[in-house]
Amino acid sequence: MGNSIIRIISGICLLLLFPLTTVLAQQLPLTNEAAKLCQEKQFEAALKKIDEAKADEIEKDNPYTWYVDGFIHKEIYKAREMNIRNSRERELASESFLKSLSLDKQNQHTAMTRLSLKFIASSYYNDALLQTREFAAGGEKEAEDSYAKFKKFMHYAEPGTSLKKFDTEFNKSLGQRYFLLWQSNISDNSLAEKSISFYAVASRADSTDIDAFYNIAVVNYNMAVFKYRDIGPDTDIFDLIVIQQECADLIKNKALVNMDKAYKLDPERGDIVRGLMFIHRALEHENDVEYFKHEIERLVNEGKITLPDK
Amino acid sequence: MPKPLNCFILLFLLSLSSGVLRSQVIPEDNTVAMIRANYLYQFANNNNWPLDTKKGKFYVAILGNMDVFDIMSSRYGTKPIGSQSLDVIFLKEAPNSSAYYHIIYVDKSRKADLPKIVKEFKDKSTLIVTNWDGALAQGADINFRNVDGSIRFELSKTAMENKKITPGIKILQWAIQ
Repeated sequence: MGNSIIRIISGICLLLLFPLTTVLAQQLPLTNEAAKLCQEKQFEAALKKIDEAKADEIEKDNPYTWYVDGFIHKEIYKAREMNIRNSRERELASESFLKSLSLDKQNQHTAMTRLSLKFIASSYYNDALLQTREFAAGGEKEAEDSYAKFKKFMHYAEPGTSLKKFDTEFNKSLGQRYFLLWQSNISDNSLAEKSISFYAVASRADSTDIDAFYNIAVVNYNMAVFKYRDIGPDTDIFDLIVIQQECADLIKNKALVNMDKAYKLDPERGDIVRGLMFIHRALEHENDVEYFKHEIERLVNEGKITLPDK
Repeated sequence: MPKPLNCFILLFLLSLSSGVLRSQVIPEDNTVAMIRANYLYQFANNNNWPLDTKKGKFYVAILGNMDVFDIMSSRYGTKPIGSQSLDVIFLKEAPNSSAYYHIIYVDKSRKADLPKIVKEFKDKSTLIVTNWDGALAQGADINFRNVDGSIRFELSKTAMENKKITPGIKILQWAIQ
């Protein structure tokens, strides 16, 4: 979906480029020629021409010249480097768009330049989300770098716009990645703790984000369950008591607290109600277990949830 | 800013937040049953039964809790208790003394059966384990209690000794007073 939006933005930018070429044709002949070449996808020729414009005494200080320069690099990026995370063309495009903005004191080209910067920003956001789905433990820096670029360019593209929603989604995505890494290596609790820390950032960015609280609860509860699963014939009675104390802290002070927050935000969500039932069962809160069992039955009867397949 | 751009930006913002973030799934393990099963195994291993019960199998009967039975059988069922092999049995009804069990676990859901079981097994070296408040006064030997989210146990040393079951040091050490 993100890529189709990028294509739409790109199309709009392209439409905006050419009406201006006629207006500015006489004042900025070199830039105008570069824009035409770009439209014809003669990128090398367009670059050569815009370099001439950037060296020209009259054209070099015009924001439109830098806008076209950025546009050409952006088109090259789209044509050749969309799958290259460290695309030089995208860097060059963004630098030129920023220069155009800084020169455009009368805001003649600001709207279209910001739109192009939004394209650049969205491409970094897409990269950031994709990177969160594939990094190995400790390898989130690339995703974070891409996300930082997204924020930087969104700041220019839409000054003052809150990015809270994106902060939340990005951090949840990092949290999910660490959760999956932990699932493939459950003996490494540092992965679970990382997952929790990213979900916690998401929950701080948006205190109404149900998934963030729910997932913090689940990771903590799972940590306890995995410890319990290790209990066996070789477990000493002293270890059994110590394990229980650790697990009680995870379940009572962390899982339950966060699942309660999720429940307050959405008391009709089946996975949350079910989660609370299991958490209370682990704590032997019999009345609460019965309450949430009835809630599950009610939600099933009202057709609001279906029980997971066994 | 022209109107079409506003519409477009809204579409753009919506699209950016459309990433699919799956909620994690909570496991269904009955953790309380896991702990109780382990305690039953600890009780079997760390208490001492009279010599005449050390022949044949070591019998642990579970009344009223299938999860404890399942975990006990699958995790501990192949482990020996001293020189005896462990046999875990699920009871559908309150047992009578025609069969001997080293341990009977009576779940709270079968609370009403305790007086009968206590009476049936009062002359046997059968450790009766329960999980509700006041069970020791009703004749249980060991009773599970929840203390701040952890399962601990209380015991009646006298009741155990009357049945010729000697509580082990570890059991006495970790029992709550």
